[in-house]
Amino acid sequence: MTSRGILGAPFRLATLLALALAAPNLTAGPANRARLSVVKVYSTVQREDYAQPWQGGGPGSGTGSGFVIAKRRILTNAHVVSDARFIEVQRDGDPTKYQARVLFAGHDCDLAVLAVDDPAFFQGTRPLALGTRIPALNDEVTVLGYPMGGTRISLTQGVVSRMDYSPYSHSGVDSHLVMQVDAAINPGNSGGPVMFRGRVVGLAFQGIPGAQNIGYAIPLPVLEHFLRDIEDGVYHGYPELGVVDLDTRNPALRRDLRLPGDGGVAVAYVDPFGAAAERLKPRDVLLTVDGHAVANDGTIQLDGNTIEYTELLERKQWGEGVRFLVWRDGSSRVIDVPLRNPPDPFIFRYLYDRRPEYFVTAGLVFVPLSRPFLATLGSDLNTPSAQSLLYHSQYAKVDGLYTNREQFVVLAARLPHPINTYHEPFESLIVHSVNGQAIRRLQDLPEALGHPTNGFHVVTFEGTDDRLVVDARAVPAADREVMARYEVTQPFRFEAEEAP
Amino acid sequence: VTLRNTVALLLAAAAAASAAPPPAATNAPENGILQVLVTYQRYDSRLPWRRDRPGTREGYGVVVGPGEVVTTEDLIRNHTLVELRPTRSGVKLPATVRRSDSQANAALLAYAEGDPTRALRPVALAPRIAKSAPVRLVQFDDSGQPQTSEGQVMEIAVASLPSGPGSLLTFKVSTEMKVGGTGTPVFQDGRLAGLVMRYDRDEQTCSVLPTDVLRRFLESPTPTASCMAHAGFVWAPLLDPARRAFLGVTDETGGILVLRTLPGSGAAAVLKPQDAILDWDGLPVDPEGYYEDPDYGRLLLPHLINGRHAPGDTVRVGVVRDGRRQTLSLSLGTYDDRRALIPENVEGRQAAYLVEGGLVIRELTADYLQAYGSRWMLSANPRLVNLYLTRAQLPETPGDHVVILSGVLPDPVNVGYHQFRDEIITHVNGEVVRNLDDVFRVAEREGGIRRVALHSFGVDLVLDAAALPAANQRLAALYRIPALRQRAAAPAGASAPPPRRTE
Repeated sequence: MTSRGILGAPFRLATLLALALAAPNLTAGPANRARLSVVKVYSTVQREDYAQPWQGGGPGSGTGSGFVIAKRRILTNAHVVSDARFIEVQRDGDPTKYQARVLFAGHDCDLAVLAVDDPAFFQGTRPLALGTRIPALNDEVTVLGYPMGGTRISLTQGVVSRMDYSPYSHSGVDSHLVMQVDAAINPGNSGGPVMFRGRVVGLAFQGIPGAQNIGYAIPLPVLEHFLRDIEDGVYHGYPELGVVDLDTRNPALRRDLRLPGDGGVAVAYVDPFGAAAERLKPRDVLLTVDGHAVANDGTIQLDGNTIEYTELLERKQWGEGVRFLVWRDGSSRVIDVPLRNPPDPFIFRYLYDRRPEYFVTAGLVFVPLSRPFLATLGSDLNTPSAQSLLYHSQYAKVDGLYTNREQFVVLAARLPHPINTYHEPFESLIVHSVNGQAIRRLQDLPEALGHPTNGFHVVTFEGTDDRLVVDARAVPAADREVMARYEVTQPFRFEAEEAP
Repeated sequence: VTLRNTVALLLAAAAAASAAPPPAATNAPENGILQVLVTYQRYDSRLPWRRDRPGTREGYGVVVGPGEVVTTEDLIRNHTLVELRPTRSGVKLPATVRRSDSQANAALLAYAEGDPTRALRPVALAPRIAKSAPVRLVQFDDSGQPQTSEGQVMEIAVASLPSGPGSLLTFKVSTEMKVGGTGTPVFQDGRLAGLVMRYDRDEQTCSVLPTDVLRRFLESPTPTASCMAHAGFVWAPLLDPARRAFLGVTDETGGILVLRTLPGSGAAAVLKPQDAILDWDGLPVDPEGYYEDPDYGRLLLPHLINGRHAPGDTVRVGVVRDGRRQTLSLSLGTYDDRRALIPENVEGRQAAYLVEGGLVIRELTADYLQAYGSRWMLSANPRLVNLYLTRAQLPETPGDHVVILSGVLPDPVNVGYHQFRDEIITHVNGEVVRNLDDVFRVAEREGGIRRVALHSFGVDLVLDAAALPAANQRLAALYRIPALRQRAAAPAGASAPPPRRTE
């Protein structure tokens, strides 16, 4: 029932293997002119170390592609520059690398805009223009970029094989429109343009390891959505309606809802952090969306195409509204839903460009449940404690597990010390209470630990009757020893507010 | 959610009170061995009216009385045909299963005495296993000739059953023989010391069901219940000095911690969570749950509960509660799987179900989840798995089970609902349903199911009551469902399976 999962994270270009490159025909032509504006992006990336959050991870470097757009900016993938510590860009045939910086990053749509402060970089480049329409299936497109297998620019050609609504692996959570092409797209192509008749209609971004002639590009509507979003200087992201619905194809269900006509989808669940919260409710039937009739399978007719009504919402910017004609309690009414969401700590996107929160005491490392933390558990998730974490991340809202909570606080790890020798069974469990106080977020821990129970700290967890007990008087000395022995530079880091 | 082995469930059996009669010394034990040939057929986990393709198992049994053979329960599980083959013979004699006990992993077979079995002689059971003395394993070669091999008892310990989650006394034997089937008899001094439950090819060791358990099974006065005693509590080690100080268990060196008691059990009547158990039946229990067994030395608590007493016995339990020592009197019962919120069904009994308008409705069981494969904790529905891992033994009120919409068989009557699978059903026709009996009751009283409400889903699945009878007929014919409604079978011969993480 959940619309966003935590499993099934797909793949990134960076995981693909190399292919031989197609030899481009570098004669004069739109594609050849365009290549002057296609740049190679070098980034040195340092991921956070969610297993030992007081220190950074080991830096690594990688390359991607990008292209010059209006206002002397470069468009590329967010995954090319996320967690970057140092970024350089280089034009084809120019030995100079220019330092670049991230102006905007949209992690939900895997897009980023870079700036280069040295104006010399842009000499001779021409901003690539975005196309005016999505190419049709079987239209021939050209992919430009700097994939593995060589150092200079590569052009490959293919056709548009499919337009689909698919997961974007960078966030692990979001799905948007995706353009599938059969041109060779390989690691390093990420961020390069997909051209049709001299204009950009997509941006290469992910593939499927092992599959042949399948490459994925972020299509024009998503590029436009991102560029329009940042026009006001802030990236807001895609608004989320937050509705799980049910087709009303079943005649008995239609009679039960006393539905007129033959269309509409029934609202079955409203996400408390979605735009529709407090406005729509279960058993509402959505009859029209912005004047377009919703069929009983949830589709609408738009510009001669049959699309899901949710795809219409994809075209909206944060803060815009959507108007529904809603069937409720036997009559219809107009309901306007402004498309903006409160910060949602229970969506469990992958996190970038932010430092992890943690709290260490008595050698016990507490963190908020997050997608990157789950990634530290390794490949063996077929265990009861990992199952519980996955369940909480997937069903937090729909099963009401989030009630009275801002975060799930997990005992992530133990830095072994005599004070915690017997606490191994509690690793990877979600904290329920400390000294009788419910733990709603990580910051609650220091306060709750300020009030020991008869001289002991007593910690309870979700899913077990067992409790963790620590002698409160022994904690200060143990903290000093643990901090020194494991070189924990800071005993905690809290984030004041969730960034939107 | 941790399922540490220490929090494994205790079933209990006690040492046999009456010593076995002395064996007929002249009788070679080979004369009491039969090969057991089993054809079995499990139920399809998703479509419970279907059966999987039949399979075969081979193992051994030992004659313990006139026309009676004892073997392991997992050998004959889901049997459709059981045959016995005497030594040096190609003859296969039909046999019946007189009773079986999955918590003891033991089954009693019966055959008609006659010509081919004339040479068979009952084998006496050893009083107990001696760790020092060698053992002898016997199985047949292809011609039916007995093959024997020496073995050595490596270890006597409490271990989990190989085909069920309970724990009982098990001994490990190393042997050079390639053991080919479960039930392979192990003899010591000419008497039956146990039956092989599993053979580890790499280690060349067998885990063996001991004579102690077999005797308890054979002498059990109540053939319909398990012979293994069950106390009904979940415990954890009590090693952590901080924890001991917090509980006021400071003067003592031993003791384990009671985490939870199971509703309806003997433990629930007298034990409380956070009790520290210091001794059981007069024997001190150390902080890891070990005690010094008079027969076998250092063993884990489960054997103290299920190895030294029978269901119905009362034991004295010394605890520290709220810092004060007390002695309690606990009466041992048996584990009844059907009392669990989510039964284990290790025996793979046919699930009760109801198919209405193509909606397949049943109760959630562990074997249903485990049918998702070795990675079932990840592959099966996360909500159902979590419920099982945290609440399986804890119905809110007695009789509660988890009613699920297992799936939908597509038909015009259920168009729009085909995607639903493994959802929890909360209401049927507007009434709360706590188990499948409730569903049957509503369906029978109201002549069918018109409306099903799912957990966390705000729109009921509604069926056209007028179209249902025809749709049900159509579905039964189309998908070849012999019965659209199947109530739970009456409990067969013996026992229910052991629960997982309680003692």
